[in-house]
Amino acid sequence: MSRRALHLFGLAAILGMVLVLRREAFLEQWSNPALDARVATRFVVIAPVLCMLLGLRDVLALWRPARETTQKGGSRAEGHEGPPRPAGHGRGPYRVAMRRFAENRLAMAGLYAIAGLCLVAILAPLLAPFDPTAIDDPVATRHLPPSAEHPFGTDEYGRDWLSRALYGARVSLSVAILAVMVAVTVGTIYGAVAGYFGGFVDNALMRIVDVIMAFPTFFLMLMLVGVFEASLLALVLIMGLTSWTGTARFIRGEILSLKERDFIEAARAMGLPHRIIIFRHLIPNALAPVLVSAALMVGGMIGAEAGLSFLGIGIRPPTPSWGNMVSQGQDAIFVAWWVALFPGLLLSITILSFNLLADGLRDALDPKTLMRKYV
Amino acid sequence: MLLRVEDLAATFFLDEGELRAVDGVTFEIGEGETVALVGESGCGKTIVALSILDLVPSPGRIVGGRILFGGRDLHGLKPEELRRVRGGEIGMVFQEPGSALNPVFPVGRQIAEVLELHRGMTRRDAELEAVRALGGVGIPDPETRAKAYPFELSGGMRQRAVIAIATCTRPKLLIADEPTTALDVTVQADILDLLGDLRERYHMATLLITHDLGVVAETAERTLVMYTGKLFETGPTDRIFDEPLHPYTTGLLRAVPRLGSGRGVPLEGIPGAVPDLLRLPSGCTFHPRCELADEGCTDAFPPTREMGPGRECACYRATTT
Repeated sequence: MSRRALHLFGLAAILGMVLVLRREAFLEQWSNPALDARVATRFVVIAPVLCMLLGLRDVLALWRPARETTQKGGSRAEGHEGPPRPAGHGRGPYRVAMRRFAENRLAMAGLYAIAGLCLVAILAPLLAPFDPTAIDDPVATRHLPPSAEHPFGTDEYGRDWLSRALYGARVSLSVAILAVMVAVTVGTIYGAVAGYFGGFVDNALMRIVDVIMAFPTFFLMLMLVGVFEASLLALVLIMGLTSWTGTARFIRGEILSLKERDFIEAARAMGLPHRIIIFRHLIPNALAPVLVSAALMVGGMIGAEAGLSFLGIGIRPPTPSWGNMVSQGQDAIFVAWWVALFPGLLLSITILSFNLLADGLRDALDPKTLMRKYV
Repeated sequence: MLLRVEDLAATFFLDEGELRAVDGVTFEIGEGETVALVGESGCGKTIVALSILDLVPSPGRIVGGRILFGGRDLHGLKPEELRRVRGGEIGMVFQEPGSALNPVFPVGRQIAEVLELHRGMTRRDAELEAVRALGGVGIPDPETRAKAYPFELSGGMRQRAVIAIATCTRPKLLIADEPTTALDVTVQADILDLLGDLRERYHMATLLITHDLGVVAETAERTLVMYTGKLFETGPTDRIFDEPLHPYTTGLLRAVPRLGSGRGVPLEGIPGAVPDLLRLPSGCTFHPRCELADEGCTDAFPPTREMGPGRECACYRATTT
């Protein structure tokens, strides 16, 4: 079985398992907490483990000798001008990079872990054994240690910590990813415009960037979050709009060197308007380092959200986020270690996974080695 | 007259001083005519080409003259109109086919993009037309090649693709800046044949920029000889080859290796090198390298004189036999 088929099969298996395991929950809707807890525990253990295993298979394969990559179709006899080339056209540089990425085991492990976490976050309502905000019986269920019924224990209000962690994944991941999307979009367009037009425009735009960069980003976030109502949307916008300056800077640098290349001059000689030159010719060519930094930024953003929430001004309880969960655990660290440990662990795994992903992307997208196989 | 360049001057404003890359260049190209612009490297040939499209890179600027294309002054056009001329009515082929193509898009897409813009085609039609254009420049199996990325093609094929992009809109004028310099000798001839072919098929005028006189002899009806940003000699190609008037032209022709010249006969070059454009010699800029030069040549640049039918030359010492 080809590697890709195996990966697809793995993901399909996870999804299928969710449906099978949660069939009863679909029908009964939280009616049987005990059953839900068992099923959810099984899944929460199985899903990431399976994801990691699929990735781990790749990690273990590090010690196996590399297989010859099979080429579909064989080489076609096209003796015209030029050296023999791999058969089957249409593999762009980014496609080549993707294939190289798939060969990087550590990065794939990161990718699978992220996929697993995202899956868990998306399916949180199905997986969570309890209502994440329900305060059951504050006296009887207060600070229960991890058990079969409450795998992650409970907090001081008796809320099921696993359910909160699952819902917290939704909040933490979506806030971080959306904020990075905002930052990268704004930064890329801003930097590309500055680099492409140059001169006065460039100077004016980059001085604005310098001014924004002169504020420490985290404190800028702190200030703005303090001023505005901390809704999820506001948080995403504030985090995104304070973090695009780095992207803008290096996109500008990329564009400055790219625009001296012949194909940009050719595009201008063919009468293409600025808009098309920027969006179709310059940005796609400058995207490789953006992808790398975006992956790194997600890790940073998760950390920043956790930081803001830890300080009590990010995501406000009762909405769970990993940040405010860790914060809550801090007060009870000697009484109930699990309260701080589990969300903290999830935070670390997530950030680590995104960093592995970024590393892999950087290696796969390195322009110096990108086309070595073919040229 | 399709294109008339009048007293064109382009200057680069550098920290070290003003570099006059193009200085008072005047020439014409008729419809369907092929004109060669020759000269050593660093003589301003490419800047002439870029000036026509108003694409002189910063810190350079066009500082004088007019470019009339089909009776319109190109530099008086609004940006929108100028964009329609670029690519629509004037196509350009670059020296390095490898870097003149966008590395992250298939070549077919790059042709289609131009067609969508200039011919107002839908994406579908443009993709089909792009395949036809690739076939039209002699690329075998164009359906497959349209999906190929530039790095999957050989140098010759890339140059064909670049030519397809430049000619897919059926421009009236094609500017080819050293189109064969970066290619293998065997492929060079193919590309020149292709250009001649397209010229006849579309009745397209060509401005061929090259330093290869062999290329000139094969393709161009008229030749412009350029040195240090100025035109030294212009005239019909066969006349210039038979009887060069300017000592610089004579030197260039002598530097071309010929079959049958006998072994062991050393190839003659022009002594010295192209001067620094920031520190040009006084008078005729060629005088330090010229074997005919005397004191009169160092005072002022020689005026362009008409010498025979369709021939002009800027030299004090040039004479017709």
